[in-house]
Amino acid sequence: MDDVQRLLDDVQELSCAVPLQQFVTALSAFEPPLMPEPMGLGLRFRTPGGVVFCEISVFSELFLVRVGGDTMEFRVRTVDAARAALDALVTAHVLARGAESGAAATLVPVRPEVPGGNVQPEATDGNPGGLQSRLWSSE
Amino acid sequence: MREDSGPRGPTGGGEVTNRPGRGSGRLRDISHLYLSSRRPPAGNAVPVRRCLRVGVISSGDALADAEVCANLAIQFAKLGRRTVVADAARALPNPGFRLGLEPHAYLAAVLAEPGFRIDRGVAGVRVLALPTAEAFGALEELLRETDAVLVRLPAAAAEALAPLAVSLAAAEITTTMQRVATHSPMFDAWLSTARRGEAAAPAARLESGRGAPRRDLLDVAIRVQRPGAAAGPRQVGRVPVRPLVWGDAVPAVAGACARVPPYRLHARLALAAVQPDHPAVRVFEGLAQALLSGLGSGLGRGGGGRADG
Repeated sequence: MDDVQRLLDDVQELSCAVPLQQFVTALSAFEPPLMPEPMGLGLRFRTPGGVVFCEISVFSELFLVRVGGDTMEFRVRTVDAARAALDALVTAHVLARGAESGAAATLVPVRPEVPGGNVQPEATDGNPGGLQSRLWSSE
Repeated sequence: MREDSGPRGPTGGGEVTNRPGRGSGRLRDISHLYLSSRRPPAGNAVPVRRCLRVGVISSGDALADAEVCANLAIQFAKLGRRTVVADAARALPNPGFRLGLEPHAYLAAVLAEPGFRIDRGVAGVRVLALPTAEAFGALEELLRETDAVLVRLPAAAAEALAPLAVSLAAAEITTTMQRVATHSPMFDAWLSTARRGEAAAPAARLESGRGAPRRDLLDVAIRVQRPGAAAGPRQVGRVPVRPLVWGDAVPAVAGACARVPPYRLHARLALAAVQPDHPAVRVFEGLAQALLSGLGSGLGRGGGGRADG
């Protein structure tokens, strides 16, 4: 996060410093962590898979946030605008994770196709008491 | 000679004789619970209740942890339990996001804003961020009227739990009446008014337990299993960490408490909020039921704490 700290140090005199600091603080809280790299006027954040997640370009009184490359752009001057951009980023993160993982690729029907089908927790055989014993036992 | 095993009538053997006069005083004591015009008796503070405390340990994937937290919380709420989600992990996405909170509400957990927030999410689940010491006191207050609390914890769960010791210290279940109260909110309400004197505050309970074996701050600890994840803690205090297999293709894990089948993630909300009939939601429902029933079963939580049935 040296690049992030360097950017924050550089912009602390600008009017967009406060929303930018909040924005970057929230970005650093993403898990798995995003990887920042410097670019022309700001930073680019990549996912652990190397995909560009978002880009920040800082100008004097505002900063631009591009989500997922060029799909969405936010012009942020205030803390509220920064939160709106973060909200879009978190949503994009969830959608991207769904697209990456096998979870989304394997579509499960909303209702089980087997009549009366009901998936129970593993190792219970439909008996919550069995699961209860496993959860609460000391081993 | 065959013994009659059919249903017994009102005068059959083993019946409980109804004596209207005996319980009327008790009914008056709890009438404020079902009559809106009645106020609780003055000076009779409701004692601290025994609530289910579930820890969700970070797996390194905040989305998985948040999704499990949110789905379990919704299931507890649907089962009629007043539920609180406390977020001590400060990672995004967080349970507040999956429970449909507004950005300023769920981001407060990450941005460490002064003060604390308690927000209601989907199904009435209350969400509390735990970035500051003020929030710890708020959690203690919340737990007085809570049936289930889910605490999302970072990987260093034991360290994160230390500041919560007073808030999460719970009364030990020692009697059959107390066990029954964990299953029945109405019986619990009656028991609260029937106790003589007030229950000790959490701090006092901690203090009084100094000489006794150390009490656990969680009833159950769960950790989501995912491929390639680093090994996490095996136990928190004396409570063993139970793996939960979520979604992705993870090989069978020994001792897993549940296996949630894969599903398509909703952009903003936990699955239980948008597709309550989904098979994965049934798994969360079964897990929630098992956790609640285990609270009153008297089973030990590690060490030598197995209580008599």
